[in-house]
Amino acid sequence: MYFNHSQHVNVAGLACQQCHGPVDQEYMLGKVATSEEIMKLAEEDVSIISLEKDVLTMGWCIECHNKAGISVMNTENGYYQEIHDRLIETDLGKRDLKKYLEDNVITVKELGGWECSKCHY
Amino acid sequence: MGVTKKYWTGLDELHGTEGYKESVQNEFTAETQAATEFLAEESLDETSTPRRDFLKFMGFSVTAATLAACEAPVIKSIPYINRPAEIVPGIANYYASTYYDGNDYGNILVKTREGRPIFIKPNKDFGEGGLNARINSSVISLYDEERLRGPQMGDGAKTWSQVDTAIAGELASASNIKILSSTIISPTAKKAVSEFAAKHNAELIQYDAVSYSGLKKANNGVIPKYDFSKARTIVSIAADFIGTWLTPNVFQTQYTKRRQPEGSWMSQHYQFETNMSLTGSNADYRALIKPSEEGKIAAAIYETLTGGTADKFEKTIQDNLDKAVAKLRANKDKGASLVVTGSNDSNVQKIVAEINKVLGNEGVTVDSSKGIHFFQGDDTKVNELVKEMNSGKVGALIVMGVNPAYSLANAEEFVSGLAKVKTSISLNKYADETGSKCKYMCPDNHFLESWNDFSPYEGRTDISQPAINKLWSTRPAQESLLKWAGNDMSWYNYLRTNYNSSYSEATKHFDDSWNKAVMTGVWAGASMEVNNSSGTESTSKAVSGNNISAALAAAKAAKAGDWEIKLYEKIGMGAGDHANNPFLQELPDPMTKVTWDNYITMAPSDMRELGIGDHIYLGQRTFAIKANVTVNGKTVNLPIMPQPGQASKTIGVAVGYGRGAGDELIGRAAYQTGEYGDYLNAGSEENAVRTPIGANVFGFVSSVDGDSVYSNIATLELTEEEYKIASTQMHSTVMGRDSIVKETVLAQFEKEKNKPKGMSTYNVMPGLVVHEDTNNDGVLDGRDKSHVRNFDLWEAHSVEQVGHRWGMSIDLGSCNGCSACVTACHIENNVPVVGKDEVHRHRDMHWMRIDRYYSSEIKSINDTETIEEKGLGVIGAYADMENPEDNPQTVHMPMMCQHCNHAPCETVCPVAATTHSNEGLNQMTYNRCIGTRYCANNCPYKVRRFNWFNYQAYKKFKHINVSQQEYGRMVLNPDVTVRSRGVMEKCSLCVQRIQSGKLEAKKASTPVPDGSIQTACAEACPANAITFGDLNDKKSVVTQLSSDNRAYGALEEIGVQPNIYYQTIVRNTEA
Repeated sequence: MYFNHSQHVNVAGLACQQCHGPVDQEYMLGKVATSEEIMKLAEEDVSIISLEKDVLTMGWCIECHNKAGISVMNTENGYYQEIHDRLIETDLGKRDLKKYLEDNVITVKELGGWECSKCHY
Repeated sequence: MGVTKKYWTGLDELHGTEGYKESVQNEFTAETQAATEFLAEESLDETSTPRRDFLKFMGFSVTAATLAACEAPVIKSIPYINRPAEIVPGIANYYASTYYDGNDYGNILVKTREGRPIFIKPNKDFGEGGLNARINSSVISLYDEERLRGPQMGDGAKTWSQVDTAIAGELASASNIKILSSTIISPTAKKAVSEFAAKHNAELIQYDAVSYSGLKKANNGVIPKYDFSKARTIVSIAADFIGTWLTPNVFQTQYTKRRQPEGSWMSQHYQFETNMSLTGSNADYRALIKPSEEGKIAAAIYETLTGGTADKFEKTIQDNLDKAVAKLRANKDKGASLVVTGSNDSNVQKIVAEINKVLGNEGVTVDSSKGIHFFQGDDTKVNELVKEMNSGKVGALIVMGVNPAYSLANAEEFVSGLAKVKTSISLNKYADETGSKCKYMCPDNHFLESWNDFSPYEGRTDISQPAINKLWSTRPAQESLLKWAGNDMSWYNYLRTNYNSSYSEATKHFDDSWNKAVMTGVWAGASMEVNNSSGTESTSKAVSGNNISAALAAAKAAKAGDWEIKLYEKIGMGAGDHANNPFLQELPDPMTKVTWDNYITMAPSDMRELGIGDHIYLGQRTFAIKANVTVNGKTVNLPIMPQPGQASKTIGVAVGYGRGAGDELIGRAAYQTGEYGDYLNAGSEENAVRTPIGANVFGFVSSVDGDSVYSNIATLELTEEEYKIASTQMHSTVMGRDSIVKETVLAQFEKEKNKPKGMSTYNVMPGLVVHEDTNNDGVLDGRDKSHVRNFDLWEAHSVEQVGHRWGMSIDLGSCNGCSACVTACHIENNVPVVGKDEVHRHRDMHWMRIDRYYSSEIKSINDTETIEEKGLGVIGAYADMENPEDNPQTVHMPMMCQHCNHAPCETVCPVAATTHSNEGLNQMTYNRCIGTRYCANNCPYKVRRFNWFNYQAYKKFKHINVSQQEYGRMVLNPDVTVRSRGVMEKCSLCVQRIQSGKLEAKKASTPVPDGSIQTACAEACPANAITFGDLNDKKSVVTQLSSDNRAYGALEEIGVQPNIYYQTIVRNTEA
């Protein structure tokens, strides 16, 4: 199983708290927060996604990938701009984009974040 | 768990009789022993749980699991307390370095993870030429557990100071000290040797296991530098310059540059040879000659070119010869052709050198004034040394990086002479055939642990740097020599000082230049030269009086035999240094596709004549017949392998096998293992001796004017004995399926190259047979076809237009079949080595293989003319299509998962373990796979591999699978799962590299730059035949290639829409 911090912190811009809990209050990096802690944080802070599944299980990853949105439109990241351009260029792409936007959010899952080979090589 | 009922199977159990208790203990009876062997796997480790114990624990674990379920399992790992600045866990570091082992040379980048070298790839920015399979798989030799771990004296291990004191004492009193070394191309090592030689009045003798001294002699003591990229006509007389001759990896890159039909011109290649070599298989025209005719062919070319009268040959040879000479003449004014010969007979080489001069190639494609620094060995001197040793006149012998007790034709004489040398010192890394017979063994570092400098030719100096601290108590050979010369400087300081002192640009700091050299692998300052006349070594002189007429006479007088033998090197084994490398042992030979063996190659027509026609089609149950080959009074017993394209009445045998005949410690994978993984015993019951792989045929080398020549006259005697040969490909032809391989000739290509894809005669879009009379011939038959695009079982994946769509294009015209991609893939993806027995059962695991096809006289089932000519019906025609021609054309076709958009494997998986990604990859999820193998059955390309065993634990693989070895497993790529038993696996298109390349692009906020992501195979290819990229990126190279005139998909007609494209072969022939 492959996990990379920079994908989540640098690229996605996730807060440390999303996984590590209230690190601004207590030094606890290197430890992953419990589900209760994350859910509690999510109540206080809208930028934290509420995750119910047990931490460090695949269900936990999957749950987040299903909820987390990606800013593909109006993004400053050149990589995602290119992905967006390709979506609006073709008929199949437009069809897909319409499907993605049914709930007004493009999730990680919709861009392939649930696919096995994204993490399991 | 409220079940209180007790079920019993019989009264025995109910009453608990003794017999029952015993039978419980012995669940697996003798008859099921094989199953126990299969299931037990004691070697897992003490925590392993056999299946029965698993059931016992179930009662406890169900309860435990309910309690523990609240928390996911946490495995503690230990972080670096003080992390080294350059190491980030999970991020690979690359170090530029240089590979040189006396045979192969390459500029490399060493990939290290957490400090461990795990992969070697070509240094494309600063290096010259690509790497071959031998170089890129050499990384595993670093971790070989049988490498010497410290100095030894007599039988026991000693400390360096003990050994140094003893050696210093012996050397001080020794007279006539000789150093026998492989060719030294390191300027600083040469200096160290000179220092030693001056101190002890010693003489350096250079020796190459496979000699080029005849070539050197014929060119006034210089090994010429050749350039195949400038030659419009290439004539090779038995030189395997793509596979093994001189610097094959450099030649291959040069050669393929001019094999693209789109270029301004395409070279034409004529090969005259005995064995079917890798180079010959790529030639446009190939003629079969006996080894004794090599000189005669050269003489005929020379005489025809200079207007003399040449000898005539039989028609097929003569036709090729006439064509070749005409072409050479035509290119003469341009000075752009090249004639080479692999013969080490100085007479033949002399003629060839003269031919190149006559053609004006000197200074264009041949540079024989300065030449290259490799292969300076002198056979005459080595033979003199052996004589001197036997007469007891040599006081001390230092052996450095060579193994003459194995590789000399008169190895026995060397061994008997060695016993008479008072002080014998081996600096070899192993207690090999030579080292184990020396009094002292002072092991050198592995090249990945060493500093070095190399000068491949005048004007270029490359640096080699260590990628890891030395694993054991070894010491650089140069440092040992310096020590014994009374210089206590460390080798690194000596090397650096050597550059510092010769550095003249006062304006720059030395450190800058040195650091840059270490970073790039190339020294940019004034180049250091290898002084070949340094020390007391005398340069090999040109044979005076070796004038052209004498050479012509000698070449023509070569004696022919009833059976002639041609010795060759294999792509994997080379001269035998890699016998312990399981990746190379398992690498199929590019021509025969045989693994783990050497054998006699013979033309199938000769086999029929000898009455062993039943042994031409070898399979799991059809074994090869063994024969005794006798040359020089020495006999070896080897199996016969049919080889289309072998000259009649000749046989070929590879050198480099039969290593470790005395059970020396040369590496665990160098010996034959049996069905359950134990070594086959070649000795007695009390005195077990491991059995070497194949047989050593260096004893068959003949000598012409003191130079080793790799052919001879042989006698052949068939035996009744049968032998299992493990080959990965049994079918030799494409059976007329023209959608697998497409080819055309240059003239035809020129005519049609502007037609769009699928419209040219050589690349027709495939159709499917339909029940309609589409061709209007009034008959419903196999020729009624409709276009494949008219059929579709599946809905289109949007991946074809959206996001990424990873794909690949493989140019079959550029692919030479060298197999560097196979080993690169093998190592990158932790593909298990399975050994000969498993390969024999067709359970080889290579994700990437190279299919080799020969042409057959019947080109396709529609080839009615030939079929009628041969008087065959439809069934007979199909049977005959399996027969390759006597001198067939060859196709090398790299084959791996085609990542079909409409993948047949995906639809049959009952557990969705193989699915399609939105980036066009066919993904394999090992955790889900339950091993039904439906997918493999449904794969039209047979690229899926099933894990029949737990290769990293089962005892059958303990000696050959690196993942079972304490050090060997360090070579595993931590980014790729090591698969366990019962799951399917296949090419993932290096998804780990794709993911990391995408991440880099995201971090840099750019679209993925074309070419920034490379699969292991694409990166390793010295011919640049493989292009990887994003097919949805309209500007990418792979997109352009996939839609050009030559592009097609393998088996496209079945409608699976592969993401791997192939480029039609264009041969530079007339028809």
